[in-house]
Amino acid sequence: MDILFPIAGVHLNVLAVAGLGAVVGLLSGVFGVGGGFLLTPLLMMIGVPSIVAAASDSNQIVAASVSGAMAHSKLGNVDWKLGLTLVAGGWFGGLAGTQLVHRLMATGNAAFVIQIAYVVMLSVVGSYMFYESTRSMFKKNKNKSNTGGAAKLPLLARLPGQMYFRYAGMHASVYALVGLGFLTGVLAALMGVGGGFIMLPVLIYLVGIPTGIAVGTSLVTVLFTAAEVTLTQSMVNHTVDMLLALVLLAGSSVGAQIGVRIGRQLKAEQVRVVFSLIVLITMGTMVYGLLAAPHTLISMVGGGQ
Amino acid sequence: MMLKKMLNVWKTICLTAVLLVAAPGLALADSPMNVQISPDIIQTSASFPGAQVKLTGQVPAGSQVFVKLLAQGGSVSLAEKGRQGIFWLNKRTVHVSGLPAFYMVFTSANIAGLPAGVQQEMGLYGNFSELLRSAVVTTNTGLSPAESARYAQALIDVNKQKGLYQERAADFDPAANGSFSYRFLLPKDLPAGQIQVLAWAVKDGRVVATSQNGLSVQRVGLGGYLSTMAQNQAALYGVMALLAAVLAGVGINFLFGGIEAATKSIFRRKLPVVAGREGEKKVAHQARA
Repeated sequence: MDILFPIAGVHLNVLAVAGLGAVVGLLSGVFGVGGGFLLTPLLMMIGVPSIVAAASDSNQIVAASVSGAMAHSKLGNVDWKLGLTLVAGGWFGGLAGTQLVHRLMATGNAAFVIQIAYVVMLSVVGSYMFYESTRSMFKKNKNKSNTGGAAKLPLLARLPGQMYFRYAGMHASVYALVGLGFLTGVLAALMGVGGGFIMLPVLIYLVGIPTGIAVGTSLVTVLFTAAEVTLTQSMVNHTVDMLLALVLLAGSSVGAQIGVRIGRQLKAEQVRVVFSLIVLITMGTMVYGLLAAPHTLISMVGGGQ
Repeated sequence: MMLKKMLNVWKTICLTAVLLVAAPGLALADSPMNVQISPDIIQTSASFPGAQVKLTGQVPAGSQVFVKLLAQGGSVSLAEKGRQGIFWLNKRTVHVSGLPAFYMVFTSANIAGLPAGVQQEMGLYGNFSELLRSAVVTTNTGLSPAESARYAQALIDVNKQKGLYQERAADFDPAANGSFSYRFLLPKDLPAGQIQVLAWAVKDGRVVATSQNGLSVQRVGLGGYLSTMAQNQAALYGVMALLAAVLAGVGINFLFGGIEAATKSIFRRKLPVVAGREGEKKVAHQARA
């Protein structure tokens, strides 16, 4: 059944949109990411204008993150103190990133800079994660901790402003965490996503907390970042299609719940291998988009009139 | 003095003669033409599939009918990609204004066969060329007329693909007495707002009657409400979007929590069902055992 999504200004099949949300929600639940970095390009592929796709994604990410964060909280996977510390930096980073995007748009280079940033970030994160997790799987170290966390970088433990995060069971510099949140917020605003795909490897590899807690805590960060972007986009650009978001989140919320339960059945290394492959595939798709000749050289910016 | 008076009389005679000759034509051109559109209000909901509309009217016998439907459009931004090194990048962004959001032309005769003056009077030249003339293309850097036309044509092509721009020449015939009726389908992407319905009757190479009418397109239902709210009450809309997302997330979480609890209890206790409070106690005791 085709319906008109009023802000996007396009007719789309409701079941196809809900199905798209369910698939991305499933990945969100398994890997603890908002899913925006997958859903935004998928929505654009089915005809949603890019700015509406990104803004409406943020809206549905809020729902998927609430649902996933609650599920992970019940499972004891959220370190709220750590999450809120990261969010504090993430909010300021989001504001700074929005200003950066405005300046890039004024020079006409925003799209290219954003795409290149995506490719660089995804290739670095995906490659390292894939390498580390496959090595862990095959090494089968007898003395390896069953927490699944990677070795903590000594630098974070030596920086000033050390704070103890009791739930995660680790010390880290509060300045470094706020800085990491800020960086994540900037990148999230640049790329139009919640930022979970950046936050998750940061928590695992740079902060060094167990994968399970990293997944739950990253969802808290994603939730607040996506909420900020939704409000800003609604008020400034009028590009949040609530109807599109509601249909997407109907699928994604269900998908996220199933994903959380699937995630519990998987080993931490397995989760990281699959996640790294998804990151690398997305990166490959973006590189193809930059290199392949477009269907049409002249296209409308932002959709309907 | 005498000569001046004679000159004035001569001028008056000439002017009167001109008026006598031209008056019937002018009067005819200004004469109203009865054209009705039905329905004249279209309500579009989220699942609007398009709408069938009927145009009926009466023109002087032997006239050809030319009808134009158009809705005002705003400025539209277009981006053009170009190859730079190994990448396809947006090399230029332009803004196109002066084009309608919706444009439909249907005629009982070919436009190309009309005298240039009549084409100009109606603003119809055929094959959307009138739109190319009205389009205004701007950018930060200068554009040649050929480049401007290329961008305007690109936007016209996009709207033609969406069914928002249509031209059907010589698509119907008025009856011998001048009455005509024409049914057509409005597209599902019809923009909300007022659509002007302009009609001309052309006979013997000149416009003999004109008509101007209107068609109102209203967005109704949830889609229309959200669309209006997003523009007029953006902050409230944003808060509503957040609340809806949070409530949906929490609702789904409770729903799944309930399903999981129910599933666990069914699979854990494969015990005989005993009715009543005593029965519940027995089941609990057996489960603990």
